[in-house]
Amino acid sequence: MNDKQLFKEFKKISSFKPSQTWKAKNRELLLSQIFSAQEALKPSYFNSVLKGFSLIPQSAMVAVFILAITLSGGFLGLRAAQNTVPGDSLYIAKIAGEKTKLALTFNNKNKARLGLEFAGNRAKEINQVLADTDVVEDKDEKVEKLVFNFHKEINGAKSRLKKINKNSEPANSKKESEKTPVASPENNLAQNQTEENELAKDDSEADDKEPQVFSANLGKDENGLEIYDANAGESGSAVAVEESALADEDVQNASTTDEGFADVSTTNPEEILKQAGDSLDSDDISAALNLIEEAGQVINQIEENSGATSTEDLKIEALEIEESAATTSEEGVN
Amino acid sequence: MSAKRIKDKILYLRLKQKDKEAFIKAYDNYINDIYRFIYFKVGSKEDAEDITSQVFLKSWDYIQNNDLLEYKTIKAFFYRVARNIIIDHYRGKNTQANISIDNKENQIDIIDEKVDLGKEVDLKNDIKNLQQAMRELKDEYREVLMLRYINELSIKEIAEILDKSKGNVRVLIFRAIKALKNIVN
Repeated sequence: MNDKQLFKEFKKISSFKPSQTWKAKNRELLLSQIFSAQEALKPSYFNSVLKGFSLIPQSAMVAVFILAITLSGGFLGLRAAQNTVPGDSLYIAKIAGEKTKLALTFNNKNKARLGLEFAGNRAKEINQVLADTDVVEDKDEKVEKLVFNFHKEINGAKSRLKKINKNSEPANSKKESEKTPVASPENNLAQNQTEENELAKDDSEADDKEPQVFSANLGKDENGLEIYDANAGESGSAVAVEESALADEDVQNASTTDEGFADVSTTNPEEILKQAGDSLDSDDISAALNLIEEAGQVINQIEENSGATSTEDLKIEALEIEESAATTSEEGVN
Repeated sequence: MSAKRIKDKILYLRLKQKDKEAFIKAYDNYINDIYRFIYFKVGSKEDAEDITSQVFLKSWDYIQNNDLLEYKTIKAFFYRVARNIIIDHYRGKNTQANISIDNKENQIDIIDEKVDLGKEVDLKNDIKNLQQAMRELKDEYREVLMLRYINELSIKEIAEILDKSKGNVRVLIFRAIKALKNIVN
């Protein structure tokens, strides 16, 4: 048998195939085994979503995963940074987060709101630093820096609120001019002049009123603020009564809610700033400005007190050193 | 990439997506070849049918849970699975590859209804003769001859199934033919 004959034999055998009946039966059997099992484990919506994801290239999935981790890590980092103070590793993240928030805010009023929030954060940090007994070395520096930043924030908020106030004034004056009939341009000019004078008068009155709202500050002592100086005497008391009456009037005029000026004697700058924020929310800008001023003065007071305390600590320490030195020298002599 | 390769790839992806129609298509395309390959290895119709069913079931399971990175075609993959199941079958039975010609139970049923009686008889005789001769060959030679001349696979496909180089496969075929000729003659 040569190669050709051999291949011919092979060719014949290659026509060999299984029974058609068996093939059909076997097909049905296999289909029932495979797909009936799958019907029982029918993929849920979740699985079908996963199936969809399986079609996405692996590299894209990896990139999305890394992005998700980075963003969530950043978010979690910011959350963790909420209670940090200067000196902590995440404090920079906190400040960066605040700056980003501000940059992404476009409304003057919202920016002012944020400024108050950040000022509140500074006030909170001041309290935290002062309450921390562990760190003593650069405590004063930290407090000084925080106070500086606090004033920066509230000044920023103040300027924005003043801008808003200014922008709203022409609208007010316009309303008044609409009320009174205008006969001629000359009358119009005279009327505008009158209105301006009135506005200027209002401003000056407001300026006059401002210190009297803060009459609470006049009778202050080292421990805090007092509303009324009972030891001032008759004239003093008369002035105090008048001032407190004016203060009450301003309280009634300025605030529409009870929450705004419920406790004028609060020494917590955070609380005051929160009240300022509430006033801002109810579009009471003058009240907000007043509260910001008050918060600034409270912070100054806290700074002074902390300075006094640290000086006292140093004095005590010095005394202790002197005493121990004296004791040692006595022992040496003996 | 050739059109055939692309079609094969598409079929694989559809199988991966648990497409019933894709499974039916793969079954219809490869059942004859796989059955023939197994039959000439194990020599028993019942065993060949059982093992053929196992090949498709195990292939389906494997495709769902793994990626066929080392196989270029589904066909090669099916043959590989068939070979592995046959090896397990041998281990289980503890017998060597056996194309029995004496056992009446192992008589080949020529199932192709279209073939007339005369041709059926001729075919039976041819298979019988060849079986006799190939029985005396080494397993390796028998396998490569079956894949090349009975299953009509290309050198490339055989190389993929046997996990050998194309050169090795050519040498094997050459030696197998030589040995078979010596036996027949």
